[in-house]
Amino acid sequence: MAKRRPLRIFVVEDEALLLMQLEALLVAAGHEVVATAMSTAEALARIPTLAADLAFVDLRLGDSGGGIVVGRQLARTARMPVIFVTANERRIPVDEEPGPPPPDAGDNDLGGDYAGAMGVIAKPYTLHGLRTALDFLDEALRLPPPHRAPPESLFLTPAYAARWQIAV
Amino acid sequence: MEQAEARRLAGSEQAEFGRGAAFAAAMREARMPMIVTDPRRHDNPIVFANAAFLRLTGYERLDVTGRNCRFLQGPGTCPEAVARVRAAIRDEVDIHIDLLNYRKDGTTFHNALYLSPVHGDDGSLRFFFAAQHDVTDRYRMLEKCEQANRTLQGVLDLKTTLIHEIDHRVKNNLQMISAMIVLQSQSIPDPAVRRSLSDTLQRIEALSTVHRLLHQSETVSRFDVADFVRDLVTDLVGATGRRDIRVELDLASVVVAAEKSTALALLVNEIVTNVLKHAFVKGRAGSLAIRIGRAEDRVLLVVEDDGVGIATEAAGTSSFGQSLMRTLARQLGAELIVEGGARGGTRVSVRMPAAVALPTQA
Ligand SMILES: Nc1ncnc2c1ncn2[C@@H]1O[C@H](COP(=O)(O)OP(=O)(O)O)[C@@H](O)[C@H]1O
Ligand SMILES: [Mg+2]
Repeated sequence: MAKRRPLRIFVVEDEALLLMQLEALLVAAGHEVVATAMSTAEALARIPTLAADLAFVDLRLGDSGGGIVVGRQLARTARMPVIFVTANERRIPVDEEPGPPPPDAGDNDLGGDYAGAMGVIAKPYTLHGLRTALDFLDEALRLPPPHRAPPESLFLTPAYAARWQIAV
Repeated sequence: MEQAEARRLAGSEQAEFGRGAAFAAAMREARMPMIVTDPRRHDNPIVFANAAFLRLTGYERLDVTGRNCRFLQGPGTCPEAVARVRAAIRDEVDIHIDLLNYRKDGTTFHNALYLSPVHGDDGSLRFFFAAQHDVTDRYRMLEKCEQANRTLQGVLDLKTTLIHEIDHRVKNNLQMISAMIVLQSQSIPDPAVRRSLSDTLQRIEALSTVHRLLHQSETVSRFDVADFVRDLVTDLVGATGRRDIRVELDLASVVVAAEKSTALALLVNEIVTNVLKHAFVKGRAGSLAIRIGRAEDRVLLVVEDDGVGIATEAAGTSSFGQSLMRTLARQLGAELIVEGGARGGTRVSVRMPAAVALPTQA
């Protein structure tokens, strides 16, 4: 692989083993995990000082709020692309009321669908599935728009698919 | 005076309404509550009410005669229904409508009201005739049914939540098992041991794929082998990173019961990983063809490669892979045939009884 600046990634996952696995796989793929959080509270506290290109967020976090709240905060306030990594796709609000966009959202505001997230990776993912999703995201974030459809393992939310003009 | 009026209306030969004593008597004595109102008088008052009406509503004749029917209404009466009655009266047309009405003592009853205008010989409006029918029992039954439905819906919701919860846990646990293997193998220096762990991981990932597909649809109990094979093969071939292995899929949709799905998935996983591991070694390129179809009373799954070919003695070995494949085939009641393929490589056929497959849903 060419020497590219690694993606700086924020990982939010409350299950110890799954956090360790995701970290290990992201690092093995050449990226940098700049911060991790294991609860909603921890994640929300970390956001203001966060410098990351991408966030992987588990939906169920064991405390009140959960990944949706974290994801929404990241996507709408910190303007960060969010990938939900979840065994609970059904819990993602598909058509929630977006509410007023934050004042500095600009055209980065993607409304309420999927809490403003970029995509969803369903658990249990396979190693290859995660790798192909990462390759796609790497390409998509460095040189948007991506020039191919996302892999099977990555569901792209309609807002991003529309923005990138990808049929999903 | 009201008495006289009623007699005049209901009994007298001259009365416009209910000509004939027999007819008037029938109305008086009928068990169906009935009233007549006179729209030519101010506020369309009741000019006749039979005994059944008085019994139903609990009023005395003196209470009702000369009054507009709205005294039957109360706070629970539906305003739209009342508006419709008013419109029917205004337009001089029939109406049949259910209303919540109030008795003199304040108790309520559901009233199926049939109201019709009565026109004279000259076509001008003379009266309104209204029959009432107490349908409270029907509403009570309906309420009971709705109550029962609500209870059932509650139980169903609970069960659905529970299934989602269990599904979530199974998926997370599968992910955790794979995490343990991935993390552990990172600290193992021996490549042979790492390969073994990788085989195990592949098997667990095959199970994970089954589970993900099973719960993707709401039909948790059905599993389409074609979907699985497509997913699995894409994943396995992709994971090799090799672009010189062509994949040909010819997959008829074969839906099997969930309890067969894991055995079948593991079997397919063994066969396909073998092809990818053994058939195209030393830079040999080639193709991997997978076909699922039905033949007579069998479901047939054939995996064929044009690789190096399998040594006859290899198929009979007692390696874990071989014994797992044989035992999975037994579990499925399937016949497993490993032979030289038409294109020089290896052909593995799994012939399953058609009973494995579920009838495709309309
Ligand atoms: N498609 C194939 N092409 C060539 N050789 C094969 C093929 N499938 C199986 N074999 C041979 O059969 C042997 C036994 O397979 P298996 O029991 O799955 O063990 P393993 O895959 O762990 O070596 C393999 O080692 C390989 O030599
Ligand atoms: Mg094998």
